[in-house]
Amino acid sequence: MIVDILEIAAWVISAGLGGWMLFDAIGVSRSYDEEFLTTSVEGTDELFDPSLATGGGDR
Amino acid sequence: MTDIQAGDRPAAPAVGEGQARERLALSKVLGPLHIWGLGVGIVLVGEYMGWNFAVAKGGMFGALIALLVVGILYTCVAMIDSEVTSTVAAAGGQYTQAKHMIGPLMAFNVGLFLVLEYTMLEAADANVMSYLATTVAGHLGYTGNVNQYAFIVLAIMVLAFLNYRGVLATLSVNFIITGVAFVAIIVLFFGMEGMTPGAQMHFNGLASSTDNGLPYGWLGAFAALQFGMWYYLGIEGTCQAAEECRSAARSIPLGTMTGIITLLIAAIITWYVCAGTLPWQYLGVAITPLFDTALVTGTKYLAVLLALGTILATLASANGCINDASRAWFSMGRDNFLPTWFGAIHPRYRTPFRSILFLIPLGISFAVLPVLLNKPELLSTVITFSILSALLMYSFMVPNMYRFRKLWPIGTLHRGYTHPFHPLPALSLALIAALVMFATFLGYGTTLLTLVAFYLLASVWFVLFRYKYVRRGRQFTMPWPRPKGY
Repeated sequence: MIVDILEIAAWVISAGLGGWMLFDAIGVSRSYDEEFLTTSVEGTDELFDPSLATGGGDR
Repeated sequence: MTDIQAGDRPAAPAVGEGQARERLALSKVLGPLHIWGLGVGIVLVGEYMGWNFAVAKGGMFGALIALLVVGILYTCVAMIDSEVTSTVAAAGGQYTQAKHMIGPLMAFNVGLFLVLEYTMLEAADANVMSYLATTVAGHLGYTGNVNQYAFIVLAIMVLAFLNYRGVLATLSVNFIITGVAFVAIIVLFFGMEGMTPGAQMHFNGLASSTDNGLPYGWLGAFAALQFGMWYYLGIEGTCQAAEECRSAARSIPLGTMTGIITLLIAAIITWYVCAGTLPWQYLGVAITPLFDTALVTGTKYLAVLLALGTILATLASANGCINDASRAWFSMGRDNFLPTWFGAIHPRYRTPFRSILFLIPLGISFAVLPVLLNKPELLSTVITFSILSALLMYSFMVPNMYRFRKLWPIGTLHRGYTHPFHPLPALSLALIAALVMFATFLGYGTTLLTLVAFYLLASVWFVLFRYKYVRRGRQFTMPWPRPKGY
């Protein structure tokens, strides 16, 4: 009996989470420009600061 | 351009003017502990289950040889990845390395290797979690059939939701649960008086006859290499988080190298306590060898702790795999290797939300396949897809390392970590990866050929229909110096 309840709870929670993510994703896509959502570029690191370009971990 | 970083929650801009001048970025919030939690978290489940199939192939000593030889392979992988990724603060890990060092076709293939490796592993983890749920229900006295679909789907949905909502919480959780799972192995070692061999463990029978240690001779030890991968498979996943580190140059090498050290310790302890407790004939087919070892001790707290460790290790692995597969898919979308739509970042949570969502049905499909077709043995095929994809990727890392040192010699590019003895690690990696690939081919030749055919077809699709869309200029945005000779 308890396992039956757990199974139903598992389906309900899964549907709830899946539905929430789907609606949120649709909401974001409708609220923001596609160009804005895809503007990211490769990251940078303080390591690439030209003033730090020598020494460090190099051997 | 304005980079929006972690903590700056943007006002939701109206569609239209002004948005394009801002730039979304993944959150830079991770440190070395998160990287450790990601890398070790993906792998540690292999200590709790899976590595012991090497015992079935090669006996106790066969599994030990696999542990050591494949340990060298992954130490090389960790060293190479630490050096290259300490200069590449970008999501995508080895995909991004391939893009910069080799070229677009190799990058496309490496990206697919990564996505398949982690998605298949995630599917296997979810399948195992449903098995554990069934086992727990059995221990609680339930005699009916447990609906495994419900728990497979639940596991993937909860973890995908966590990933969707933000990387900091995702990898903080991974760090904690991985830490508990690792401590459980250490506690088992001391709980079994591991410092005093012979107190609770018995190695006499193992050492007295090669029939016990190497029941199938050296050929068995060779065949065991395939399952030796389980001890470490996935540690290279640390690279996927490079773009989200506060400093990739510091966090990636620290997290990756301490991660491989952790795994070497965990692997040796695991082999030691299991080999000294369980007969090899049983160990070779056991589903949860560490838990079984704890049960044999007769100590209740050890049994409970190792049961908890098994569940947490499985969760951590699936969680890390969702994180890594989505970053690889996202990076390929961002560079137009796949539709740009996948390269979107959530403006509030700073996660690649569309890639996370897209990969959910794929993970669920492969996880339920063995249950749906009532063929539990398909689980090993799913895992072999993951292992073979990883092996193909390691093969790429060899020319990649050579190119990296050639194009940007020491001193021309600032590295957070420089690995010693180049080219020895790259050569060792090439040799051992080839050996393991051949060993896997002997056991799963059809699977390997199927996978190679799939990647060939995907490459043809990329060259004919996709490459024309790749933004050749936009994909290289890191302020690297010009490569030597260009």
